[in-house]
Amino acid sequence: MKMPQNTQPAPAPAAKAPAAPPPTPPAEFQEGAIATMDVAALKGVLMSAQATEFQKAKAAQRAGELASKELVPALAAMLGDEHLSVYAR
Amino acid sequence: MATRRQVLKSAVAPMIVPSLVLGQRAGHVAPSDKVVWGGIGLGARGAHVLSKLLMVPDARFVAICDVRNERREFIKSTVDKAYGDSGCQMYGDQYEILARKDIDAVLIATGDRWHTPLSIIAAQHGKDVYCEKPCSMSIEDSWALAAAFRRYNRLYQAGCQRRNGANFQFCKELLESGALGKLKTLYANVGPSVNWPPIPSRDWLAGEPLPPKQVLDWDRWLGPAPWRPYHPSYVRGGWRNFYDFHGGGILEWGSHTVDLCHWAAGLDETQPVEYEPVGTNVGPYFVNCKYANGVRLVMRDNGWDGALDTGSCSFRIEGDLGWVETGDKTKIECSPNIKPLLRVTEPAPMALQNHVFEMNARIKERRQPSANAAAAANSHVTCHAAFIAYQRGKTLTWDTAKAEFTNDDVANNMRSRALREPWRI
Repeated sequence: MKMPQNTQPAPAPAAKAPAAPPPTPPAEFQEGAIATMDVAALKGVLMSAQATEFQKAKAAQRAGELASKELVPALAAMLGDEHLSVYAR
Repeated sequence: MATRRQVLKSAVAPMIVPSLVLGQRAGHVAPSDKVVWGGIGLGARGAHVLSKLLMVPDARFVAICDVRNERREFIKSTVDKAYGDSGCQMYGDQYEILARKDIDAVLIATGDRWHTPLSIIAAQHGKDVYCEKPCSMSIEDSWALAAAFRRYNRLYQAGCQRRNGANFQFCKELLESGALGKLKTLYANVGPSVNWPPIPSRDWLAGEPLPPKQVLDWDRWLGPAPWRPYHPSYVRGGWRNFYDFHGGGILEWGSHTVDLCHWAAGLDETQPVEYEPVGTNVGPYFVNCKYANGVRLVMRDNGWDGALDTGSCSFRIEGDLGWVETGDKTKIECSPNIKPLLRVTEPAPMALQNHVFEMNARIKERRQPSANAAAAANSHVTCHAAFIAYQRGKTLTWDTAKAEFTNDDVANNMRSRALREPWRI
């Protein structure tokens, strides 16, 4: 049987509106230029004694996406690091 | 010599005892006939699903596992109040709850990063699984999920409850009946960019002192996700803003709406072969996709309720004879020629209830439910491929047989994400 469309008030949507935006990441924890670095620049970060844990993590993550053989030794050196090993794999 | 039939008859006959003798009322389900459930990581959404599970007569929820003490206690209190006893047990380690032989199935509603590994671990422990969406963090996760539930012969229901929503089912019926004509284009509304940008941040928040482990086990909260310093915003839901924990707006809603498109159009066993990203990270954004048979799939940022005000998680089907669109407000918009066919449908909350009831019934029947792992894998792979195309900023082509992109090596490297030790899929 053909019936008219349901015109009752709509129930609340199942999906919830998201919460307020999170705090802004501090400058030292922003990926910035690392997101577009080439292999040579990534190698520089990964081998640098001055690079921070965050910079090495992000450089390793991008290196994993580029998958350059040239970066394998630098990434392998990070595999023993409790925090960074996941980024290097 | 007694026949097999006679042996079975003699063995079974003494076991048949009228339920009235056991003091059972009409409609009462014996404890041995109930599916026994546990829960892992039930926050606000998980508690909502649990509220439906507690309505199932032939289900019994007996245990909760969570890395957050306040969550464990809240769920125990909710369950004990519903049953009028104190039987719900609390755990902080998923292996302890999964070791319980009396538990048949688990409800998983952790953050996305845990969904695939936990579901697979549960299957390895012989449990059936109802898991919230998105079900996976990568293309590789998605395939591993489907393979595990096939290998261990367990049942899996993705939290894609709209498959059991009457207004969505009606749209599927319209396509199947031929009323819409030949299928041309499917539209899946994806998470609005104002809520979830298509590309989440890869930054970290500033570290703060860890709370005591009995209050929050941060290491277990992170689980398979890459390590980062603790910040309370993550555990309050802020994790959805970060790539390491989330797949952006495409996965957030696409895991529902792309899933609906696949289900409605009989595409549960495949994925599109082309993905064209359009837009920026501040939206609105689109990903135009095409299947091998020429049908188009448009993932679109159409705002929260959609331009036609059909509600969140809307989808639309266009054929050469007409179109139809619906969402969480349950109202159905359509082309004029379809209007005479419209009928009243159930209110939206029934979809979740039907979905949970379906899973419990399928467990008793040992039959795969509607949103099973294989179907979820295909719809999630589609979303992940679109997400990767959006991140790469270029049109990607996909070989469904080889499960690889054919025109971008970096995109292929992004099909998987490393899991933190010791977690594996």
